[in-house]
Amino acid sequence: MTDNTMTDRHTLHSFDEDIKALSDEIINLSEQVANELQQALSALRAGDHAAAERVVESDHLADALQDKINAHTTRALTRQQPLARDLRAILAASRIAPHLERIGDYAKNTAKRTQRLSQPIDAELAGRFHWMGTRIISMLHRVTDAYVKQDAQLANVAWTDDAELDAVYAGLFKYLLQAMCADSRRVADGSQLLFIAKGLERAGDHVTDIAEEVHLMVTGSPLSGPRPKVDEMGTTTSPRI
Amino acid sequence: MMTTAPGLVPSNAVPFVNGDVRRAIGRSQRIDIVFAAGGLFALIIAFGLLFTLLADLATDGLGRIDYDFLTDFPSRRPAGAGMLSAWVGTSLVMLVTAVLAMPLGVAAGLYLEEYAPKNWVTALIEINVSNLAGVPSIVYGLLALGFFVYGLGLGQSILVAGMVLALLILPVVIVATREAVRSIPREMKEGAYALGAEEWQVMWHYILPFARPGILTGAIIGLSRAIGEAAPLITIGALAFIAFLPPVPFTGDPPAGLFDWLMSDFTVMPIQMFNWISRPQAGFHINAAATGVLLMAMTLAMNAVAILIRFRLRRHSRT
Amino acid sequence: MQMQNTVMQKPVAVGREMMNDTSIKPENRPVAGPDTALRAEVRDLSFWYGGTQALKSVNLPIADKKITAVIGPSGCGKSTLLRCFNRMHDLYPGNRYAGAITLFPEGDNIVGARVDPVLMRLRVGMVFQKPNPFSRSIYENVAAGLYVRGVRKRAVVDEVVETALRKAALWDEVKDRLHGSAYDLSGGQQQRLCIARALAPNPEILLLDEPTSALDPIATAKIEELLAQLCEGVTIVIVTHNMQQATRISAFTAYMLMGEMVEYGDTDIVFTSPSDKRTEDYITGRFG
Repeated sequence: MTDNTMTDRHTLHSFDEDIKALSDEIINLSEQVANELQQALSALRAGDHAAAERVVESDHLADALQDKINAHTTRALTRQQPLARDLRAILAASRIAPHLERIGDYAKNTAKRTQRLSQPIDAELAGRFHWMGTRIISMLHRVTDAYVKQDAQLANVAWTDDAELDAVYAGLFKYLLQAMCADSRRVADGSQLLFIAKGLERAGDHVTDIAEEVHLMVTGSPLSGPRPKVDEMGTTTSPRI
Repeated sequence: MMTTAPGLVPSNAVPFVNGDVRRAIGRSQRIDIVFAAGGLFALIIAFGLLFTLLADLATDGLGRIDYDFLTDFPSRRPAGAGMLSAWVGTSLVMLVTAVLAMPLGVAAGLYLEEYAPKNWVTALIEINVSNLAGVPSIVYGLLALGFFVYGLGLGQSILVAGMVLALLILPVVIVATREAVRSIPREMKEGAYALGAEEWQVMWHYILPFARPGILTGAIIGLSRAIGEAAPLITIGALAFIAFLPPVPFTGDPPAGLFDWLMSDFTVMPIQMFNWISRPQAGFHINAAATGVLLMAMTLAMNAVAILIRFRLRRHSRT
Repeated sequence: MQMQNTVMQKPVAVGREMMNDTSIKPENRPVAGPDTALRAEVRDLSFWYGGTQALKSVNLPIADKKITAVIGPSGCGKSTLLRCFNRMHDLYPGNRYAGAITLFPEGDNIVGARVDPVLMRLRVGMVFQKPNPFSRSIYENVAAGLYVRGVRKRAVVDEVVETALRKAALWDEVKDRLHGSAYDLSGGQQQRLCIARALAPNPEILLLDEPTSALDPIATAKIEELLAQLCEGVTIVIVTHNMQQATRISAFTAYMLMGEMVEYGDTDIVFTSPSDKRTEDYITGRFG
């Protein structure tokens, strides 16, 4: 090769295409599940069973996208024998996809449980759920952004956002417990809402997992240090194992 | 292939059209045929002439060859003349030539190829080795007459004949040696050196065995040229009418007795031929033709031996 | 350049010394790990083919009993560097070395001006890119290195030949035809024969110049397996075009570019998170 300039494009055109295809599919999956979350939470707030049903039906799209991503990462590894940051990027895609798919699952479960509620939720609960939902979706957008821009800093921010989410979840948990203790007729609905809340909190954890994968992909070393976790009873626990 | 009407193809397009390509190919093929025919014709003429010559020689001389011809000395009568002294002389002279030319030529070739530093002195020597191959053979004869025969007092002997012919074919042997050594694959040499071999070990155990076929071939080609040389030997005084044989080599009392044959007068086959051809009697001409046939046979035999050696040794050292 | 020809360090913990050597710029200081025993060390090695400089102040530790791979694009100087280890360049006129390749524990400088190249070649074996067996029998090929050293006793040579062929994973295939021609072997077998030949005289370092680039994948795999086992007994330096091969068999990798040593380190790290962008561009196929 007479040209010695270090370009950012691969000599092999198909390599660039494989990586771009994977990246696009991750973005699509991310948008898909963000959408599901958005609509599941609107359905919850409005008590709209029909909307919830639509969310449940649309989840298969996320599953299909994840399968596609799996197939494409296998193909990219076979064809290109990637090394260094290409290898990390392709492995990251294969590890991020399942997290995204799980977030979609939690959105679907939220919608399913919404259909089992006997009555729409009150304004206070609506507000809290709305806050959690918005926070998760913004975290998801941020990590997706970090993934696209290969920005480890952005990933870090999403990581720390989760702590706040946990705190709000803890508060919501207490509120629901108190409501159920006060009025035993509300236990049925209350348990469903507890599960929904837990699901959202888990969705937030998956977003932080994605953030860790992005950090690993960009820097080559794992995100160090314990992530502070606040559990339902408000106690801060030791680092995740 | 597609066919398109000529007008539809732009004039600067690649001529992927049937007609143009076919015409171009046809032209090339015709040129091929012309070349092949011309070459064949030239070959036929050259070989035709050669074979005609040989056939002529054979028809004249082949019948004359019999046991008496080979064992009689020359005489004034054609029928009684034989070439005993001639072919004995040729054999002995060839022996001396080989013994002198081979070691000198191979050693010189090896030195020039492997040991000599790459400077202008070496370059000068290399140029002159090639030049020596073109020096007229009679000039070698003059040199030998002045230096060997008179200067060193060696007389008109087999030894001097051998020396002058050795000088004559020395460039051939040197060049053949150099070519043979040069054709050794680099990897083989490097492999030998990589094992920690000294230069002489590489030379003796690896380079020489590999170069042997080439060197031998070159030597035999040189000898088959020398066998036919008359001019230098006439110059140093080889006689044409020798009615005696040199003493049998290596018999007689040592040390002088072993080598007294070297100092003997002698004749060789080309000179004998020349002598007979110069006589008016037709019988002698036939004798000359017969000697020519024998000379050709000896030359062809030597070349055959060269080919055989090359074949056998190449089989053992396939590259 | 000072020549070290007095008995010096033991081959232990020399990595640390190279790390702390202030005469080498920090960014050029290749780190083999402070406790890695070194068999040899390339220090500020420069090399000229006539007037062209082919190696520019190369620094490279060679870890003892490990495989060090040297990779880089064509013309980067990796073969040139390799051939400095056994003074192959001395065979051709007009070449010049500067700097040192120090062999431990004696501390001899391989490229020192007053060092006999033949002596160095007795300690360093080489396997070439194209298998180059001699036109002799298999037995004589392997024994060639012994004959050169004047070892001729039949019993000794027999034993060494068998050991070397076993080490090269070739014994079972040729034990019944030791006196057959080496050219009757397949390409992969010939290369293993060349490895046996290089191993027979028990060298301290074995150099391999793209040993499998002329072989099919199966023969390549056999040789890679063989090398992995060999390095328990001999230090190996291998030049390769095949990066996957470097990842598979080497413990340390060095990347060279245009006569310079760009990066050196643990193979895993060099290929997953190289520190120099030039290295990453090369191994990910963004070069050129």
